[in-house]
Amino acid sequence: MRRRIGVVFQDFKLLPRRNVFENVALALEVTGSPLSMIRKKVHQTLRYLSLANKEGYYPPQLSGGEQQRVAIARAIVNNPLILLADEPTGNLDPDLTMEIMALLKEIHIRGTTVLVATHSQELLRDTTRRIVTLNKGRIV
Amino acid sequence: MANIFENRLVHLIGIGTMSIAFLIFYAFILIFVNLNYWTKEQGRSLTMSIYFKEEPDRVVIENIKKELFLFPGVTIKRFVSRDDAMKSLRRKLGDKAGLLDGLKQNPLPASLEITLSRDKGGDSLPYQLKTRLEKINTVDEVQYSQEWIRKFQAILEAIKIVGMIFGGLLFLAALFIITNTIKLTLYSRKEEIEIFKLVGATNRFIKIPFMIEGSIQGFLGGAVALIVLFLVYIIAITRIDIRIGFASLDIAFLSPQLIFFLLIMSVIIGFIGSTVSLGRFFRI
Repeated sequence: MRRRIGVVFQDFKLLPRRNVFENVALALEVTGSPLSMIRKKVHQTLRYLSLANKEGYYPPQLSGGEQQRVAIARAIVNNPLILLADEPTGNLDPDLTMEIMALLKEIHIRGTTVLVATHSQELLRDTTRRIVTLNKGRIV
Repeated sequence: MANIFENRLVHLIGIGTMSIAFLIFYAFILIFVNLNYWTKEQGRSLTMSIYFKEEPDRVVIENIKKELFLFPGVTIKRFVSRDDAMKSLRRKLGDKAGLLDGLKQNPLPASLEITLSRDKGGDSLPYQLKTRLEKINTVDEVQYSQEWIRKFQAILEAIKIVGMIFGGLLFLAALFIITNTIKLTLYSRKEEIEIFKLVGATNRFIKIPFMIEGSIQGFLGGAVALIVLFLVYIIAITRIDIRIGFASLDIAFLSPQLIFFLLIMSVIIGFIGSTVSLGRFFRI
């Protein structure tokens, strides 16, 4: 089930000792995909997220926005049905926030259901999509 | 799987800890094996020393040998010349060897060491042989000690039993140390494991590299322990000349089969240790 859901976190949760390519490839490795297919899909996804030239870099060497994009790449490389984002812009400054949100919107348009959890009122203002409010764990 | 070689320090500490545990256990086995062999040897044979009045020439020795071979179960171990005896005594005295410098002549006699097999010769053989040999005029005295060896054997048997209990405890201790070492390794990789889970890895996918790692660590721990033990053995052998009473104690290192078995066992311990640790870890 986890493989049809992609997840993105506020603190990125990337493996610091592996490079960008390897971090994204991990999502495919666990499904047992052959190496050639992994390579192709990872390249594709990284290009889509404008990270093609950062493949050999390690997370500590990247900026916050770049790291989040790697996390997103990892989340979507498997073509999931749903993308869950838990405060994806929490660790990013305002410009990057807009960038990431725009990216998520694009991913949504391409056909993935995107679910963003946030405490930020600003994010809510800018969206035209459906908003679900939770209070003490219940839908309000 | 690149993650096997990351975090080298934790691994080295793990292997180091395991090596020490294994080393204690292996050293014990080495002593035990030798003690065991020696006890059996002593039980079956008896050493006799034939002391000569003067340094014997080849003819005398040949005559003695002819006499000896008339008796069943006799094996000639070696000939110790007066010089050999002096050298040996000097070695045993170590830095006190200076005491011997005052001697104008070498007072030590030459001797011929032989072993008798109790199975082939029977209980009366030693006494028979002694009386016969002491009649020869080049022979000064024949010494052997049967009583003494029997008592010694009883002590050795007792040591063996205590030894086995002790060995068993050491084995458990080694297993315990290793399980904990691997658990520590796992804890240091906790975040990494969680990320793996996040990405959808099955438990088995995560566990297998760790189990392989544990097995390799076990193997390396055992191998290092064996190498260290061997080095200590070599150093000890060249420095210590152990002779207890009338018998020489040859300490042999572990046989190749035993070494192979111990290495396999160390891999298995590593494997079991990691499996148990992983089991506990994943239930959290």
